[in-house]
Amino acid sequence: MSTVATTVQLSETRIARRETRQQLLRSKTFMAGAIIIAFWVLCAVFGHRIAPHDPLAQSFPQLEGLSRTYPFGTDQLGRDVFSRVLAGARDILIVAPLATLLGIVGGTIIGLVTGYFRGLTDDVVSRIVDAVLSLPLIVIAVTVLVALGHSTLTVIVVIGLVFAPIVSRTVRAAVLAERQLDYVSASRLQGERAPYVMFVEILPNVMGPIVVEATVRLGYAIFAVAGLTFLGFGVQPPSPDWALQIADNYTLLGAGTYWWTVLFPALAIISLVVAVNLVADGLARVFGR
Amino acid sequence: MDWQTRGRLDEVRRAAGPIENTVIDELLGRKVDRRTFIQRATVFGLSASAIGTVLIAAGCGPSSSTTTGKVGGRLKMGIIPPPAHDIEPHTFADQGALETGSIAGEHLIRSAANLKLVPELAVSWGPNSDASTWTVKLRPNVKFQTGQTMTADDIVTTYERLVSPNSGSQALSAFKGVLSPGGTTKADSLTVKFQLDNPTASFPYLLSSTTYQSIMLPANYRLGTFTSKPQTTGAFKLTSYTPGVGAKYDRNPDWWGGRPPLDGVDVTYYTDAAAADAALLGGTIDLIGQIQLATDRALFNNSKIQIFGGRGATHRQVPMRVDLNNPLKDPQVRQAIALTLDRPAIVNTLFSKYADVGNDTPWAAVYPSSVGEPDVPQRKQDINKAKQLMAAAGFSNGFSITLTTEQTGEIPQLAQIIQNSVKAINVDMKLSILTATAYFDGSQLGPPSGWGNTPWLNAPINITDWGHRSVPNVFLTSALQTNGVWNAAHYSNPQFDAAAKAFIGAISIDDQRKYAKQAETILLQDTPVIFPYFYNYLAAGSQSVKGYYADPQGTVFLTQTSLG
Amino acid sequence: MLSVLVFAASQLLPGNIGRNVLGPFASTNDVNALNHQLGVDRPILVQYVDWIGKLVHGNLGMSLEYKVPVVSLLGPSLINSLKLAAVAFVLVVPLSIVGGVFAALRRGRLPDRVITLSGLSLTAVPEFISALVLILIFGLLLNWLPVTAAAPADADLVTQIRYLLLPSLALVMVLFGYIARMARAGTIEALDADYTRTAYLKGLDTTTVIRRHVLRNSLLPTIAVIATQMGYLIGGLVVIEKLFNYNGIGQRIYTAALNKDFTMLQSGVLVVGIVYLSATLIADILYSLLNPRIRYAGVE
Repeated sequence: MSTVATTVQLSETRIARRETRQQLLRSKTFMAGAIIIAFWVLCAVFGHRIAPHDPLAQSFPQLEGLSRTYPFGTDQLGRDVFSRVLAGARDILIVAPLATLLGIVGGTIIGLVTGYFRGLTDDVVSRIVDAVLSLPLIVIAVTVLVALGHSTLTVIVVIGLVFAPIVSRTVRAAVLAERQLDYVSASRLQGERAPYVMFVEILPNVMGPIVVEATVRLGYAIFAVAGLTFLGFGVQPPSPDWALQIADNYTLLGAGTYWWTVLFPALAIISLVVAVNLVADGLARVFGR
Repeated sequence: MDWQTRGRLDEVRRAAGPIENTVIDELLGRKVDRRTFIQRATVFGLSASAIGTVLIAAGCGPSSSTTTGKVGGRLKMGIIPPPAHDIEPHTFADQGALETGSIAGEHLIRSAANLKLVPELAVSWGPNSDASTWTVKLRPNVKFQTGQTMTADDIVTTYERLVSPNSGSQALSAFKGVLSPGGTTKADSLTVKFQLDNPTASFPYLLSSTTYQSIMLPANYRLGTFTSKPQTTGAFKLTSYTPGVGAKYDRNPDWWGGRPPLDGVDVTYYTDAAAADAALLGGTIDLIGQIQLATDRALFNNSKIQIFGGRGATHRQVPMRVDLNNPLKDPQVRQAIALTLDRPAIVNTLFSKYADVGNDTPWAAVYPSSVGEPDVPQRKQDINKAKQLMAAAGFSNGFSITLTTEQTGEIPQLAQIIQNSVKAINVDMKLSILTATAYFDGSQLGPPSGWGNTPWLNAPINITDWGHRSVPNVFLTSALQTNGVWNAAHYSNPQFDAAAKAFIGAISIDDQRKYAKQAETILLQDTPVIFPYFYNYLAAGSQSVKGYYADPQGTVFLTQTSLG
Repeated sequence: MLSVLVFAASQLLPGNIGRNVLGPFASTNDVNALNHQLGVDRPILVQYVDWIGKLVHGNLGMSLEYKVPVVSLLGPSLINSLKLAAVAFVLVVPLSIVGGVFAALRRGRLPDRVITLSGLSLTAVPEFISALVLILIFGLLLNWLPVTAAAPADADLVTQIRYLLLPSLALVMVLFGYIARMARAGTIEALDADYTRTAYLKGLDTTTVIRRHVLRNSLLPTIAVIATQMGYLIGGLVVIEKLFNYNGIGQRIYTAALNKDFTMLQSGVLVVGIVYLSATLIADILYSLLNPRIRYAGVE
């Protein structure tokens, strides 16, 4: 009997998933965002190879304007901006998603625990979460990075740690709603232990909001990484990372000259964030926020 | 020359000591040019009139006079970066503090254009026969801004604090081995005697504004009160100071030098070069104390902006530690790395015409004692030779190394250029660019106790910024001599030490050049440090700023400046 | 609670205070003496109690780097940050609410699309980029506005606001999309609600309906959003303050972190946290004030 029930359950889930997928594919916002992201992911993986010139080669004339050989001009050290923009996708597309993942995983665990157990654990942890939330990201990030050094790993960890409390809020709210439902009490009555109830029963049912939150967080993560890199924490030169390019070249803007060294990396960042927001929007609509 | 001139010249010669006569001989024998003569003559205390006499005798004529400007107005100045610590002159270690203090402070001697020394609080100075004792005569009737009159006691107290190992003095590195506690004594109320540890021909430079910590303060000066009460002798009084924000100075009506053109100075601190440039371009400020082509391009070739400044010895050092168990230990590897650099191209990219190519020694082109081609060949890019050397050292497959440095000026770009250049010899260089605070952070007790843990003295290869000095002495003693406090390469070569010591003690320009050549040759062979260039020290101001001299050290000298 | 967190975190930061202050050449004895004088070698609990005690009396300690009381530096910086936040608020709140409501009223049509899309794109621009663009265009090329945010000391209110316009605009660009979207969502929800339909059925015209019923509901999420942005607006503007050379509290904290000036850092972070908590408190109060009226307005 139970095997039939689970088979029915499984095919139901599969149908539901297929429906979701079709809805997503039909949503214009989602598709637009997804295409842009796919383009940058492609650049991240193959960037160094498909770029017309070596992004790190300093062999070209300094600070040349746009031309056929250098569609986006060259920078102060004689490097081709177009190639650097293409290759620059890699760093941000490694750091930001990893940081988001860390934040999501951490936040989910905290949210599940506080939402499920309530009581004292919830109170204490919520207090700490509140306190952390009241501090701006950049202050926490800078303090930690100055103390621990500014390797990429530290940046990922710091952003992840700052995001976790925010994510935990959303997860907690969703868990609070879920735990009233019958299947939870049924599971408890069956004698399942807390971790099982949380992760096997409740978690799949709150995946919707978590996925939406993840994409929203990804947008913020890109911001945070770009901002920190601009301040000097994060990837090191000569990486063609976009925020680093802006940081290297923004002093050139003073007289309105050499704008190409800054404009194109900026447009790249903006396009990526817009794309992520579009995807987040599409997902939110489909999963019914 | 006519008999009148001859007579005057003989008078000067008779009054002068053996050292000064050597200097005069050098000019008459055409061994030095007019500019170098003036510089050396002022070092050894020849008076302006004596110098004039000698010049006329040598047929070099008088120099042009300075112009006076419009009186009145307050100068709005931008200083980058802000002082990081409290403003206490003998502890000055960063650019921001230097500039802040120098607007109000004065020294015994002023280091002026072309490495010339000009009397300030001292009116004359002279050495004994071997330059091991120097006697300085003070200017009478100089008043501190507190009302007290300056006497020899004030000089003694100030200098004892500078050479004391317990006061937190940042000038110790300059005075080490030259002047020790107890060496400064009062001969009478307006005369001070300096008894040196070793003969030092260029000692007056240490008494000048080159040692920017040596701002003269009253003998009863209380530590920590510099910003709360104006207490210097200068033309401007520091009347207000807010850390990280700005400072205000008002004209000192009792200044010994008369009336400076400006009524006052309003300083704003900036942390961001682009913000400061925008402020200058927009008219919010009139002058920025320090700029560079690489970070302030918008100010160059702009009809609204004047660029002040000239050649100097400000530079970057790329020390490679000789004592670690890695490929850099082998001088062939270090030479190879040095040979991958295309120096003229580097200078062009980072400075356009505002720098001189360096030759891996501290002898900059501006020093009269520097020896260049043909006696000491200029190192050029030579990839083939570099590859040969790497092969000879056993590293034809290259190796991996991390270069650590600070985020200052054009240094990150120099780092990227070096990283790109060494690819030619298969060296995979990673960069670690720290904030300046982090780079210089940590303990630095120095030998013999150890190098501490600060990154800039311990990284296998790094890039550090070095300010201009009027003579290369401190570069030799602190960066390259055995147990030098700032010897980041941990280099130790007794032959070099001997040549450097001889150079510092040498008096005649011929002797100086002789030892310089020896030392330069040794350094090119060992290459413990790469000196890629020496760049011009530049400041920028609006067209209304007149009479500003951009001192290569960075000291802000505003007594001759006017607005229009 | 916040204070415990801040204190604990700053204790965890590595760095020997005495060493940092006295510099690298000082002897170990001197370093230990200073540490003793500063009291940092006492047990942590004692230090914490001492710190809280001083805080209550308004004594935030001495800056380790500048050797002046922290209050004298944080005070003006905080006021500056509040001024900037105020100008940004005055600009962005009306603009976003009008934009959001308007978009909701014209839902699905061109104005809605334009407003939503522009809001979305603007929020996607990192603040340092929008700041750079504003400085370049309005400050340097067109020369309409000053590029430094700090007006001369004796300037009147109008001049001060003029100087703060550019950085405020940068902030407006960052926040507009987010707040407008909240206002729009709130308005849509209100428009669809029963009490709105009731109001229409009663014969009230559109403007009155909007003014009396819809607006309050669209304001609620907006207030919540604004409160959450307070922490960012006061202490998180490090990059904007840097680019406009503005002495705000974000700059102070950032410099303190870089220079390991622990007293300044602790106090600064605490102040920002307090501002944020106060803002959320005020938002909560406003929320409850507006809330019951809505219920009554609906029943009316």
